[in-house]
Amino acid sequence: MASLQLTGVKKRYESVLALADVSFDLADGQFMALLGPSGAGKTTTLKSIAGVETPDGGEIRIGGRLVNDIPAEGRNTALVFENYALYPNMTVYGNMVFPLKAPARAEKFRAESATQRVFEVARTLGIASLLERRTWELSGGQRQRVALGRALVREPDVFLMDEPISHLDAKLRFEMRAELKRLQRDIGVTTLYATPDYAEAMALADVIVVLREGRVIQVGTPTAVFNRPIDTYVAHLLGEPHINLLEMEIQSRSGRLAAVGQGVEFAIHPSQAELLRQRVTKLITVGVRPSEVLVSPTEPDGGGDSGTVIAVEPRGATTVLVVRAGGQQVVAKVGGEQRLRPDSIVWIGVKPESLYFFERESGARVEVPHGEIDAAGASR
Amino acid sequence: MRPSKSTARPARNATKRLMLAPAFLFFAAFTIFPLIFTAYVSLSAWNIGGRHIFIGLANYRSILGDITYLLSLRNTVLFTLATTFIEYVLGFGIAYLVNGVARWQRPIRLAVLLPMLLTPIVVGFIWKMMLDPSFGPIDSVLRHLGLPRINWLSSAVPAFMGIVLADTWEWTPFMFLILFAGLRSLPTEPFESARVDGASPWRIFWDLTFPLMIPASAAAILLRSVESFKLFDIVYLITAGGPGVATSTVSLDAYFTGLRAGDLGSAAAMTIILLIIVIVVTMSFLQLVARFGQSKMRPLSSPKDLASSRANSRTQVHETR
Amino acid sequence: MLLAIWLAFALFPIYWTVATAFKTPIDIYQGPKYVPFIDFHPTVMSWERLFGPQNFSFFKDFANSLLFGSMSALLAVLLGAFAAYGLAQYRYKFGFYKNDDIAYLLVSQRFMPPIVAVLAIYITYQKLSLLDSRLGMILAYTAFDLPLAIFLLRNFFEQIPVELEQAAAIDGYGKVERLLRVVFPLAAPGLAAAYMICFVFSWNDFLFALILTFDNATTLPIMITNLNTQMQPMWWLLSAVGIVVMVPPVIVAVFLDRYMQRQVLRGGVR
Repeated sequence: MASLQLTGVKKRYESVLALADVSFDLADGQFMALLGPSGAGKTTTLKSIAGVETPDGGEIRIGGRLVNDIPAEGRNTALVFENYALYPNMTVYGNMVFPLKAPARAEKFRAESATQRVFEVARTLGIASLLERRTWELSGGQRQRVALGRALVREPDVFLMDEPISHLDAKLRFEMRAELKRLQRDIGVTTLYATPDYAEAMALADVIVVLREGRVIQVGTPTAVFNRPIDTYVAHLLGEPHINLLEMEIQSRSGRLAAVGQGVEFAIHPSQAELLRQRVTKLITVGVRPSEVLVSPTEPDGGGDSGTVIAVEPRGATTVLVVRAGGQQVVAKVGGEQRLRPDSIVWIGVKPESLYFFERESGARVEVPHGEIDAAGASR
Repeated sequence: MRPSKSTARPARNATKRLMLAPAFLFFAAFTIFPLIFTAYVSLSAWNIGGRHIFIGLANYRSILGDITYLLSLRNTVLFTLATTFIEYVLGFGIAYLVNGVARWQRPIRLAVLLPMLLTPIVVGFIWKMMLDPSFGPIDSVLRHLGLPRINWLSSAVPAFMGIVLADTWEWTPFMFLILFAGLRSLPTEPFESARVDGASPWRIFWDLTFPLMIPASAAAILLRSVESFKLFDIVYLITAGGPGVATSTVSLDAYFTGLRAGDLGSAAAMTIILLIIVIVVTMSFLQLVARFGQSKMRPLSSPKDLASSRANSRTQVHETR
Repeated sequence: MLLAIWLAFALFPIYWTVATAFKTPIDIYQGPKYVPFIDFHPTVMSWERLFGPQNFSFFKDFANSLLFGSMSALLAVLLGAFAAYGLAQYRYKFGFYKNDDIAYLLVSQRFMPPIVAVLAIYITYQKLSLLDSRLGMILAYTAFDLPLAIFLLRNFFEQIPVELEQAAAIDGYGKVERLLRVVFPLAAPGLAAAYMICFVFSWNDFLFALILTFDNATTLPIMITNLNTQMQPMWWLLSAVGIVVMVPPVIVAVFLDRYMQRQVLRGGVR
């Protein structure tokens, strides 16, 4: 069990810069998610920590000890590969006992205790009945558990997982998520989990690290990263459907401020007006989560922005609507069944406190007080 | 993106080099060194006892004027052309046929491949036996069919044909192997759509199959002809170059000159010339294919064109409706 | 069908040889006979001669062929495996030569007519007293089997996902261990196939044996030519030897075909 620190890690493959500058700290026993699309550098980071890739720069410390020059076999890490990498010429048992028979660990795990340990882990994962099978006879879910088991049998300092459940069907994925969380709680091992799926990251992790093109963009708790994204990229990455990012301008409306753009107008909350006053007539990107968009089939008193429904996507408990208002396209997620059809006229509005503001060029978020956001802040 | 090959750390570098080292050692000792050495020998008068003096290009001049050598050269070239062509056509045909066979494909494939796997010397003696005028079956079969007797091994042209026959028997399977693999790896969609569009099998072959098979064909032809230039085993056993020098090949001539007559210098020169020929042929062939492949690849008739060549009847049916 | 004609053409000479091995000299000299028990009485006379005391050096030649084939194939596959592994998993750069260039270089040896090298090897062996020696033959065969082995094996090693070796490293195994415990076992079918092909390659050779041996290190193909020299070759003996020589290649062919079929099944990675 150990902490993990990465400082300025760089890695280049031929002409591709996989990691430009990766730094983060993972405390002992914490569950951290490495979130980013494919190509962001998640796998490279994990492999660098495991020792099968050698970074071109930066430091990696496990438990405070610099491990850059220690080969993989000397670091006590475990890695669950995205495609499992099970040894095809061994049985499930053979796969799981393999790490225990390594020279470095051989004395620690004598024959019977090794077998016992394998049984324990297999039972925990529910694969005890499969121990005699060959790897190609197993289903995807079973293989994934074997890969997990192989990683868990020793007691690694750091537990690394590379999209381990991405190749399972949706239902299985959901079940495994819960199981992984429970396992990690029980065993308490420091875990780094790579995934492109934000919901997975939010469900599993204590801390999320958002990775983009080899750089760390934001580090924070799931709520912090979701509610206080550091820029448009992070805001867009988390949330489904994606956050609406609208190009607007701040303008004065009889003493109050409003964000105006292409026929759509959102009022700005007075508490935020202070910080935004200097930006009057300046361009700004406004972010609104689909769940915060209010849709009404009838014109509300006080007016509002009208638009036409372009698409309706029923999702059982919720419905997603795409509305064209003025020159903007807005995605809204509303509850319950809707009678709305394409080409219906609706009115949309947003509660001022749910608006996000981002710099137009850099995409960085402009800090303004938000009404109901929790106090847990971003750490960057 | 293919996952990492390790970036080399000094320790790794040593391991990397070590892995290649033994293979390279052998390569240097048995290929590079002999090559240079043979070249040197070809420039000397070197007899089998080991005495040698440097004489420059004298060997080359003398063998290029030697009638035996020139005949051997001619034979080798003729021979390569003949066998490669015959074996290619036959091999392609057989590959095509076998590809269409549904059942028993494995045993048939095995049976077809068999001759190629046998030791060439054995093939040589088998055919010598078969072609023997008194005891071989071929002659008696010919007689039963009423055809004139052929003195296979004692006259020039039949001897040549006999060797071609034996070589064809042995190496057509080689062409078959490569072409069959090529046929199997062709995509099925173009063929399906061509058939749906009503193209005739002949057209399908010429406009679709053959052009798509050019890479495989090129490979097969190139490989086979290179091997064919080295022809030695079969000839040695069946005719030993005879009658006279009617079936002598370059390798054979080199062997006899070098190790029977003891003139290693000339023998070396012969082999060097052979090497040069092989390299030149290979290079020019590859160039040819590269350029030919480019131009043929693009204007593949679309399945529509194929259909139109045969489609008249169809359009008529549509018209009358 | 046309195929049947070719098959008949292809298989008949082999049948003929097998039949001839079981004929007596008289049967042969009386002209061609086709069907056993009808045209002639099969006999094991040739085989008795071969295995008997006056065995025309059959045992020696057979042993040599076997020895050279198995040893050279073994060495070629062993050394070739390391080279092929290196070429598949590492990135090499020697001056301008990168991986593929090195591979082409090694394989290009096939394009050189062996006779070019043999003369030089003959002279060298003469100086080193390696002529007509078993060691010399094994070395020579290994050298010419190597490019073949590397060519075949490189493909094989490239197909082994690098993650498997990485997993073994993470599991705590050093380089050598990883190769022996994980990588090579996975490549086993390829290694076996390469071995068989190299064996047949050496087994079938004639040129090297002809030039580099006289007496001690002769092989079966040499024996065949020896039996062939007279005006009236002893066909029956030749056929018998021929059959023996035909056996290994045929066995290899059968195995290879079956192995090719099975190549499709692989588990482990997804």
